[in-house]
Amino acid sequence: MAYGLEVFNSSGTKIVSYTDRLVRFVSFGTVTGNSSGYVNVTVTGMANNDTWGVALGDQPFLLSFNDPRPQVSFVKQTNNLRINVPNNLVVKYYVFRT
Amino acid sequence: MSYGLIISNADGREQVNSTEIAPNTFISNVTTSSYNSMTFPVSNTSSGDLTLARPANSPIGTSTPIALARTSVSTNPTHFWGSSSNASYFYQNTAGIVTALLKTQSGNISAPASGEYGLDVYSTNGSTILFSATRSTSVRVLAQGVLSANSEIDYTPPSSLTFTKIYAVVDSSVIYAIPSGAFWPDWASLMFYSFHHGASTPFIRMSNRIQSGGQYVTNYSAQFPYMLVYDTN
Repeated sequence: MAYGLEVFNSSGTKIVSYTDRLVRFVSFGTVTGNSSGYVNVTVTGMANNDTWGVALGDQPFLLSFNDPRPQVSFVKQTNNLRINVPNNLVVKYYVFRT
Repeated sequence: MSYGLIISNADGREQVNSTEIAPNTFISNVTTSSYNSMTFPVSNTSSGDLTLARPANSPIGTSTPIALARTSVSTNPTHFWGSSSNASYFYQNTAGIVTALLKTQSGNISAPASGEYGLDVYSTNGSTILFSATRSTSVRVLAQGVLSANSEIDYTPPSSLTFTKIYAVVDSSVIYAIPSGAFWPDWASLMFYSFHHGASTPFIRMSNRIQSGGQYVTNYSAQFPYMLVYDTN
């Protein structure tokens, strides 16, 4: 027999199933790149696995007309989110668990 | 933990955990935005909200994929790709889109009324609501990951799901196109979702590409974090 949580709304529609992967909010913020090329953000409990998710709020560009490629990336580390962002560029980030 | 509540799903992923300050989220502010009003951020966005979007219920054409992404850069007025703000020679999504917000339940879910039944879970601080089964309108994660440079991936939902209830998290997306000039080629940064609603088996493609002069560019570092969710409500 399957076990877990099921939630039905008042119309009888199942809105949460024991098979569902839900989104839980952890934190958000904004960082500005510096000369090191990365910014560390403390995220208690973070680990490099797929239960931790990250979204970026912007993909800032170095505004040159002949090479406008985006350059923001990130690395999930133990208790830390490292955001690689060029100097002086601003990027938003969101951290969540699934 | 010494006390509290953890609910895990069938895969072992935690759905609710009262020992963490990680409140569940819920979908709200579902809004149809016409071709002329596909602006970003969408109305009623609060700090920390994730923005969801999908094509309109009756997208243009029968087989044309619908591109979904933000466009422009952070310091400029922003809108969705395909809106009336696009230059006429770029893609036009005249059918519009549907947007929604994914908000934390903490601070956005009202306290239970007297005599109300159901389940509300609070964190160990006793005040932060983590999950309300009574008022929750949670979404289900269908796909989540990170695309490295010059890559793409397809997600094909099972036929049991309604295609028009699938939303993309668009905060990380961008389409930014620069026409060619006298001294530079055309450039397009394409970190976006493409809804192939007219395919015999509908699917959604996530892409992280840069094109210049008709060729893919490979030497760049940007990642495209993507996520698809399903509105179960």
